[in-house]
Amino acid sequence: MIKVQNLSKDYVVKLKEKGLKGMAKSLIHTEKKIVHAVQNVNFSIGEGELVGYIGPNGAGKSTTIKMLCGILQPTGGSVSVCGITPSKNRIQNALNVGAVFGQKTQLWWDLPVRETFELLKRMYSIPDAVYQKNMKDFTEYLELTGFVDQPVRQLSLGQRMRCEIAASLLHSPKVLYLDEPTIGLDINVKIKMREFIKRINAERGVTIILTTHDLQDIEELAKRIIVINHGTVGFDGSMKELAARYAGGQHTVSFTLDDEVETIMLPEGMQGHYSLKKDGYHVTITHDAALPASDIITAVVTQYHISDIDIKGPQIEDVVLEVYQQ
Amino acid sequence: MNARQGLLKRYMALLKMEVEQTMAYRFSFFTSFLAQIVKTLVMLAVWIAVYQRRETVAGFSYSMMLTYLLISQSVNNVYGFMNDAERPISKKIRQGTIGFDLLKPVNFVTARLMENVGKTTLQLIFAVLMFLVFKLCMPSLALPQSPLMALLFAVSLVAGYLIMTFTSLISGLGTFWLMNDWGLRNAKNAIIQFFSGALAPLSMLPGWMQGVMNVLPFKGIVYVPTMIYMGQYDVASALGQIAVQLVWVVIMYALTRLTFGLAIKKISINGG
Repeated sequence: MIKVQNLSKDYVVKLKEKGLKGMAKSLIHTEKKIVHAVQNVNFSIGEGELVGYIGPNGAGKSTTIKMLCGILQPTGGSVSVCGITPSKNRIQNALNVGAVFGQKTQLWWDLPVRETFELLKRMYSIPDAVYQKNMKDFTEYLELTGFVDQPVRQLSLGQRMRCEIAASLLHSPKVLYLDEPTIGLDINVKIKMREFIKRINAERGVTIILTTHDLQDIEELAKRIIVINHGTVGFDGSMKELAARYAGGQHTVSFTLDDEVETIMLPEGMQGHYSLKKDGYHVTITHDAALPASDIITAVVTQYHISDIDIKGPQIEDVVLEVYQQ
Repeated sequence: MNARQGLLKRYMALLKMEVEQTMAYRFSFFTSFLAQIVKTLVMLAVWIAVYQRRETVAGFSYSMMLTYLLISQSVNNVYGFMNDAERPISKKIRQGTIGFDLLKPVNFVTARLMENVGKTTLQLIFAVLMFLVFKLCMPSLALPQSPLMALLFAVSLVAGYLIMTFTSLISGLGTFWLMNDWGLRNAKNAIIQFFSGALAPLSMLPGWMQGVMNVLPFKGIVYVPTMIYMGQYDVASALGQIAVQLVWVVIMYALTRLTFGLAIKKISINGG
């Protein structure tokens, strides 16, 4: 469905020296610097897949999405979406794909949302039956009733984002790009959005690429994750594989003791598999996967009186942070 | 329904949206209409003062000059109170929302032109209204001499509109390179206001300047349609002037397409 080969994008950035003198100088001459936003990215995505495309700010996520959309010309490499090159065949590509950019709006600001929907119907030549079916489904799934006749500028962010995603899907595209669709939304709307994304992926088989900084989105939606950092792909695989690869040292067991003690002694055999941090009554033991949490708990409860235990597996935040920091 | 009809429907939808959008800004729309009337009155006052001391200026009698001013101002109003086909483009480029326009299954240049036609439809109505108000107050205001001349005027007006709008679109696309539209837009507006004949008849200017005008497309924007309206050309030379305008329409359209082609190759879409 989507094939990306050796994709690269360079930007030329103008550097301005600081202050009035620098600004004056920049009128005549500016230093330029080339930024490699995306370098040699390769992946291919099958029909009906829902892929999380994540990475830190400035990693090249949006740049990749823009090239997939065909609105940004790659510096090198190739993109193929539904068998065509988006930047060369912009109009045909537009019929195949939909896009939501969480930080931007495609709705007409001063007109009721319904007007934008009607415009899209005509722009994409959507048949009446398809349009009505889609409107009915989206209105039901996203609970759009009550505000589609209000001007867009009067909508809350949550209402607007629900309309954005509906607008991007009205022409029943085969591929949907979601660039930070949940940014700034409250938990209630986020859940609604996630359910909706899951649903259209399952029911309609829409291929979806999702970028987000909310790892909850990724955990709940994406079976496959591509991590991009400094413009290159750092990981491509399932959530489980990602966790397994970076699982070392991420398990923790925390105890709250009844009495303050000098030191905590664990059996000899556990040496090298854990590290220990003590803060008054609180003890946190971080251990690797070779040492089961149950052994630690047994060792501790047989020696000390405890009032509370807390066990944590590898946290997705920690795993992703580790990939980001590479 | 064949493909061509389907495409036309897409563009008509954009046109309709722009009409609705413009009407959503009622207050702004009426105030700019009012401002235009005031501007016309000021220009009339200046020229009335000039004619207190003399019968003709550069071959223009008093009543001819009044007609020229009113027609050229009306023509100017049809094109836009602020002549700004580029402003929406510049805004979208700066904010990065231009991506949504590029993601629609329509030709970018034609789509922007049709949006502008939507806005212009309303401006046409108001320009006609303004003309009628002035005609009521000044019965001596001339009408076209014949239905044929009226028709030629209409054709010339459309051609002038297209030259004007393509110039604006090119200037708007310039934002892709400059990331700022203010300087380019003001330079363009100043050039067009002066060289189009919107301020005064071009025939008043010294000979060498008229030479410059004749190789530029801008006199086709206001001066040519206004002079056709006033019957200053016979039918043959009016047709000749329109032919020159149409050549410029084709050239400016080609330049707009070329600029867009270059822009889309090197653009960056702002923001994350």
